[in-house]
Amino acid sequence: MHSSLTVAPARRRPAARVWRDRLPGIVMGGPAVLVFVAMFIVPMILAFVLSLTDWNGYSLNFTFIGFENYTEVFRNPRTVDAAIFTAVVAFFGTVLCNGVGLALAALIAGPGRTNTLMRTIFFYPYIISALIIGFLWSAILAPEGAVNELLGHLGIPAVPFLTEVGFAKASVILTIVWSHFGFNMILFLAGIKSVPTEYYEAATVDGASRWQQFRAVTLPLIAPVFTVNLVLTLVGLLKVYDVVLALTDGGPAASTQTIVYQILKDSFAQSRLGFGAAQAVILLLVTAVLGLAVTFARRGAEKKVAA
Amino acid sequence: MIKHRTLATVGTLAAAGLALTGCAGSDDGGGTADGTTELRMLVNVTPNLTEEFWNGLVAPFEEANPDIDVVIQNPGAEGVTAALPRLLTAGDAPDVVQSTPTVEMAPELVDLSGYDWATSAPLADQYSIDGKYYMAGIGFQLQSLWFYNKTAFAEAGIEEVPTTVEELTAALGKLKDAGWTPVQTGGDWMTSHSLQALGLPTIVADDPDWYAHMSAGEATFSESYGPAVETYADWVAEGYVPKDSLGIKYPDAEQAFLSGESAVYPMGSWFAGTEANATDPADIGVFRAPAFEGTSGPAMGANVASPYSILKASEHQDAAAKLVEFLVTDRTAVADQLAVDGNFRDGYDYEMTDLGSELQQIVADTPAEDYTPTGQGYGERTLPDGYSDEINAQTQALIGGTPADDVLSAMDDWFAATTG
Repeated sequence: MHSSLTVAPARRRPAARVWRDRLPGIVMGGPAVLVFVAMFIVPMILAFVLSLTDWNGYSLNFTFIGFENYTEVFRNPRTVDAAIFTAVVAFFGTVLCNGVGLALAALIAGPGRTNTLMRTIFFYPYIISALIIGFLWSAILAPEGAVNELLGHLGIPAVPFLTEVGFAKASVILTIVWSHFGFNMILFLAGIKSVPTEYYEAATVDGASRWQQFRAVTLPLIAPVFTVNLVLTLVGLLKVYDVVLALTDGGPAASTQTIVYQILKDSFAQSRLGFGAAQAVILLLVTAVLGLAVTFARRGAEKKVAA
Repeated sequence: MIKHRTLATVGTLAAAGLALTGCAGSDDGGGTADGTTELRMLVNVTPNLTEEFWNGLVAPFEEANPDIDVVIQNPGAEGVTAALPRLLTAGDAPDVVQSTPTVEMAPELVDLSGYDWATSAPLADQYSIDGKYYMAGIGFQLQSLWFYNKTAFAEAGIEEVPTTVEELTAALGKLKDAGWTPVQTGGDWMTSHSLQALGLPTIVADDPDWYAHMSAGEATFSESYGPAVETYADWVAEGYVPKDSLGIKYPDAEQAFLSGESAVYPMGSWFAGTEANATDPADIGVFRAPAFEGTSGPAMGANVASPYSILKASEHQDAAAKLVEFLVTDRTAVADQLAVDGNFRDGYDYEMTDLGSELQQIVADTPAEDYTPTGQGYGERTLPDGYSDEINAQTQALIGGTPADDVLSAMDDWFAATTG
């Protein structure tokens, strides 16, 4: 049997009507776009322009010096050291924050008052100002701080938490993890709670243990949450500054200076806003590349969930 | 017609709004309706230098010049150094500022070379930039000093204060043997103070143009600072500088020395002000930082106290010059400023403790040509940006056990990177 179909040519809508249809979207989205351009795009362009100058912050007179600031970023040993420490903080911080956050979320996801209390306790450090956390841990870990006083009473020699390079770096990372893992835990909890209980019931019927359920059901189904947690933590830790300022002030021997700490120091203490802007532009690019890389790398796991 | 009426209404409302918000052509040049000239003075407001102090300080000037009203501008927590660039960029510069002029700042400042009171002020030559005088100060803030606990020295059998680095090292050994913590230092910014007090008196005495030579890449850090860094590393190894110093904050270090927990304390002359206000402090004396044996005329690190500059943006530069002249020449005004912040100037006495009198004597005994900057420097004697942080970091590395050679090498690398 043969049949033929004739397709009527599409009628073009009048231009006025097209614009009328689009108008609500433009009106409602316009302010957001304007704010985004004014608050993000324009400052980014200004930062890039500034990074090509020797502006010292005092006068509106400055000289364009091309990419000289950018070459100095890679030549300046202090900036390079700060970048390396920032990478270490970002890597270990991201792994630990998510590892601890996930483990605790899995442990206290169930109902019950104790779990509710534990969630509150674990989340609490995240809502405290990072500066206060830095000062708090500085008082705890200082040579004559609470921990060393306690060790002294027990006849154990003092530990140079903040005065020896290796210990100080570890102290900074662990303090950051302590202050941040609550946020990761809450996101993981939200993800775990959204997994339909039927999957667990089916797995139980199949004889899966709790660990097997976690590995085969929970982990794959919270893949999108995992991606969000990884990206947010990584981006947040690449910008870490305030804990460092309050805990070690970048010391000892400048060993705990992060790149943002260095940017602020160069820009304002040294009046080198052009050089600081160059570092900021590079940090922005690195952050964007890493954020996108993690997102793409996680896409496979997320596709499995969608399937 | 409707359009015209709307336009007129909007215009009227806009004009009214502008008038109400003060944007409709107010006189922002500092003149007032009664013909009085308003001078804005941006100054550091601290626990010592309160707004009341500043207002009291300029009151006699205002009495003598009824046509001038001095308004004290408090920069708040950000301080003058951070506030000034912001105000300049915003086009809201003060008339007078209490801040050390830098090469970056100089184009924004009035050249005071034509005023005798500026060219003859303390450290005027040292602070000049391209031969021009951009500030006038009131006195000296000495830096190359070692405060010492007289009881500790007596217990260690040290009868005379050290006059060479070698004698100082020997004294530290005796103090340690007597059970004292020899050197009191701390973390934060203060760590490098001791290394600079140890090194600069010799380095600048040997090469008065050391700052210029280092900036131009004509001298290396390891050549000039080598003996001081090696001596400091020895002090650390011998336990004269405690390894846990880096965890001590500046106020705690100061308090530890004041209460007699340590024997010597390298610090600036402002410490005398703290000692004067302390309750039951240890018996403290001070000696000038010595140089290595064989050095003649050890250099004395010093900053100018209360440097005042006039902004080019000021519309009242003559009135501002009158004010600065008053601040740096009026005997009462100068003495009051010296006293309130523990600074010194030969010939300007104020009620001071025995320790203050010792410092005053050091100022009187120090020839003008012996003065040198410390840290990053000032005027034309400056090192690349970031030097103060770098030497502080490397001094901390020394205390942490990094060998002297590694520190010297790191500093050479830093200079190579920053001087191009």
